[in-house]
Amino acid sequence: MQCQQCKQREATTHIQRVVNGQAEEFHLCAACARESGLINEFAAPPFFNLSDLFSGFLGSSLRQAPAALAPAQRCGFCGSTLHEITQSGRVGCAACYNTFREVLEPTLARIHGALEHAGKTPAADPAVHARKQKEQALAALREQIAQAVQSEDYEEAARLRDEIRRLEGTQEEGGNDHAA
Amino acid sequence: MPHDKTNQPPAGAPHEDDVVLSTRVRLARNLRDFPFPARLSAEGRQKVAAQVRAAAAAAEDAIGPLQWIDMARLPRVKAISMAERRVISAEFACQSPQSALLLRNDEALSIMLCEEDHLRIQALCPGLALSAAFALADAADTALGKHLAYAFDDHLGYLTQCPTNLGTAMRASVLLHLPALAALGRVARLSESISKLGLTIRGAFGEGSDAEGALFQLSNQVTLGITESQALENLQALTLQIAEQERRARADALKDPQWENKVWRAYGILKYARFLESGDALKLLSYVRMGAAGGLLPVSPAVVSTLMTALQPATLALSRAADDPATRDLARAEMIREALS
Ligand SMILES: [Zn+2]
Ligand SMILES: [Zn+2]
Repeated sequence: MQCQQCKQREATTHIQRVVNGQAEEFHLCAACARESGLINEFAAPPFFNLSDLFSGFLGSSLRQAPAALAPAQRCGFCGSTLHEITQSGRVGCAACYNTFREVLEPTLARIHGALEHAGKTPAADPAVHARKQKEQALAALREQIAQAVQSEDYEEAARLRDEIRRLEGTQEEGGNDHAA
Repeated sequence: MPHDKTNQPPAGAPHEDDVVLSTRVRLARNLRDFPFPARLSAEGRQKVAAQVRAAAAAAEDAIGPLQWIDMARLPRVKAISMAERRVISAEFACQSPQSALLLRNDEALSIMLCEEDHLRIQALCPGLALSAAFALADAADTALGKHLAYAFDDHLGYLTQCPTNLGTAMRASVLLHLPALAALGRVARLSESISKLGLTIRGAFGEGSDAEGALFQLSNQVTLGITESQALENLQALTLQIAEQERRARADALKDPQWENKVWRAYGILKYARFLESGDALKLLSYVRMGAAGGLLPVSPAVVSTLMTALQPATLALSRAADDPATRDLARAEMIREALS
């Protein structure tokens, strides 16, 4: 298969992913993949040039952005502007994610297909205690469901499942594994 | 041929290493109170380095002693050799301004400072070892995290300089040797099932007409909205599936006299050649590795895997004191002859 960028060399880097229900495919040779930044697999964006795509996405969200977030607004901590973030494809600091959240989120949702972290939380950060408590509450609810099912109290089980769904947001699908 | 369950490697030996050369898990972490590396001043870089160094010292009981390497004082050839051995990234080996590296003696654990993020915690294990590699990186992260204020958001997870890494900020990857599937042109077709699992595959080396040495890197792509263990499970499942397909394709291929000829021919050249350029050597070793894993050749696949790294220019320059390309080609051929005889 030919590299779709240079149309000369054989494509050896194949990336396919689904963004908003649309499958996108990329077939690149090693040289073009390296050129595009794909060779650094950690930064591996599913596209030729991160800043192009990022700025493309961001550009379209910017047009609908509230006037308060003009491209010239600076992050109070690191001094980055949206324009700079868009150009470089790099976010300036942790605070930038807050400052520009409204504008960044639609773009992040398009890149990741999700906007809710599901993984590890830092040990030392008090801000994550709420999440930990939530996880513990969920575990307790699941146990209660198992008990309700065992005592054939299906109304209670359904109520608990709704509660879990409410806590979790839209994550859970089916959820029959405890009733089985 | 199904993988022989009775032929499991002994405890401590690498798993699935006929197909999987190595496993790597990287975690990206940033400090909340400093701009990300691209916007960090020289003074800020020093402060970040000091904080991480102190945290590593405080966490020594949990993660063991780590060597502090000032990259500015490390000869370039040593840095590039580390990248060839996958201990650090190629970008980190060459980046300017240079930074620092924390490295465990056995090189299984390394922490790059101010690469793309303030910290890149990496665990590297031979064969297929996703759980072990993750456990190592995760433990180091947890221990360091007790002494560092990480940039974290309840919804976006670990905050990273590049928004594509948000969430778990974890990249797990396996280095696969797929000579038979690559020859059949089936690596590209695998990409469909790969993308469904949020993974990606690419050639690991080379700019030539194919992935040099038929080495491919399979890694997770999605980091937000998925747990570390889900991502690792997906990667594990697909690796086993690909390994099985590769084994079947190899078994078929080795019944073909053309293939058998390629394997023996490559073995003959490597055993007797006096000059070997690295790209050629890698291609020939790929055939030899396939023959070795298939029991055709009297060589162990592990020896061939070691050679695949050892023949890289900087690593060879160091081990054989060979500075210019011509001397290296000579030294490379000599090293391979010695290993195969
Ligand atoms: Zn190309
Ligand atoms: Zn900022």
